Amino acid sequence: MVFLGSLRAAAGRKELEMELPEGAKVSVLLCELSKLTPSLAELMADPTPGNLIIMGGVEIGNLQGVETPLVEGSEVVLVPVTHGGS
Amino acid sequence: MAAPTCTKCHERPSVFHRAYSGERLCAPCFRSSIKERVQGAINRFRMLDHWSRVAVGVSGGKDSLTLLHILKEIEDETHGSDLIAITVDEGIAGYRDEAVGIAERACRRLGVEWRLVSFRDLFGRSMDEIAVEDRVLGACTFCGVLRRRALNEAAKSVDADRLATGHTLDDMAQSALLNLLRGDVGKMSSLGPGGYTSPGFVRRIKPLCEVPERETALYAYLSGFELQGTPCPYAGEAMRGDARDFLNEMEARRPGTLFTTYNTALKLIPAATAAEALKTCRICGEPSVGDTCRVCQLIDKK
Repeated sequence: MVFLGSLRAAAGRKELEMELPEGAKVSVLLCELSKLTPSLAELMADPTPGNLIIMGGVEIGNLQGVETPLVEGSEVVLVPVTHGGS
Repeated sequence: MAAPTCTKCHERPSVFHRAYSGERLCAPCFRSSIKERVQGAINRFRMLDHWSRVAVGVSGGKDSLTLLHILKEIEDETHGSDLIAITVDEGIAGYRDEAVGIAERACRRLGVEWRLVSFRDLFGRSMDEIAVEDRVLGACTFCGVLRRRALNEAAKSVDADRLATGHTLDDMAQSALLNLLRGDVGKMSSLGPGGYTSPGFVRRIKPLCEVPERETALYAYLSGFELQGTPCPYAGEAMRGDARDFLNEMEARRPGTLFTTYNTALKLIPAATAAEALKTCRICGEPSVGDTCRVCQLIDKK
């Protein structure tokens, strides 16, 4: 996984490698991410309005959303949508 | 898993689904669609004249970087206007320092003239200093009002006849909803994306007014823009966050909500404009809705 923008600070890292069971979906990845990085748990509970989740160069809303099955070796990039205040 | 083919070029695999329109777009078609939408808004709201001198508010965030890149592309193709990027340093340690660097580097890469103005120079104190003072109002209220004044002052100082800001469709819809929630119908008049000319005011235009923020985020990602890592420490104080969450949820459930809210606000502008004639502030002489402008009210109130 790659964290961009403000998610980098929230995750406390730029990248994270994870091993998941075969056939796991994006929702499982996000769930595991929340366990590993509690600072992201609230954000990951409802991740899609405030973030773009890009798997293999495709935003998951163009696939099956969080139900999209992960592909072995694929890179998942999290891009924050909202930023700032007033 | 394979993504569906792009519904625009019918050749390349798509990377993004626009739920509100049903389009599935590949990266090049997505990027060109954003530029077309910006160009469409500029034309429809008559935002620019030939040879306009455009000050562009560039905070260093993804929205203003997207705006700057698209305006530069349009300018390069038409040779119609001059661009001068303006960054306001509010004086928020860590947060703004990083963004100022991003803005400066982006302008250098694009070959756009860049100016930096600060709250400290204009108002005698930084946002961090204002934030620790006794105050009733949220930090974002101060920051928003003072930043608008700073941008206007900077635009005047470079003889700009337009001030372009990176307000997205989300910002427009949020402002419309906030005005409604606050019972401030008169303020709907400021939502006109093409702005208006008034003594002392550089005409403000919002070329990204019909681009959802999700799409500026994707545009920034696909363009490889440097994305700011540090969140604003005062962002949680803004009432806007509640409006944003509500509209995001509605948009996810009912795609098109942002556009509907924005279009409804546009219909209210004529009535709102009639109710909101501008005066001159009795203290600083700048344009004002009341006898005293918001900047003087806030600086006085702290």
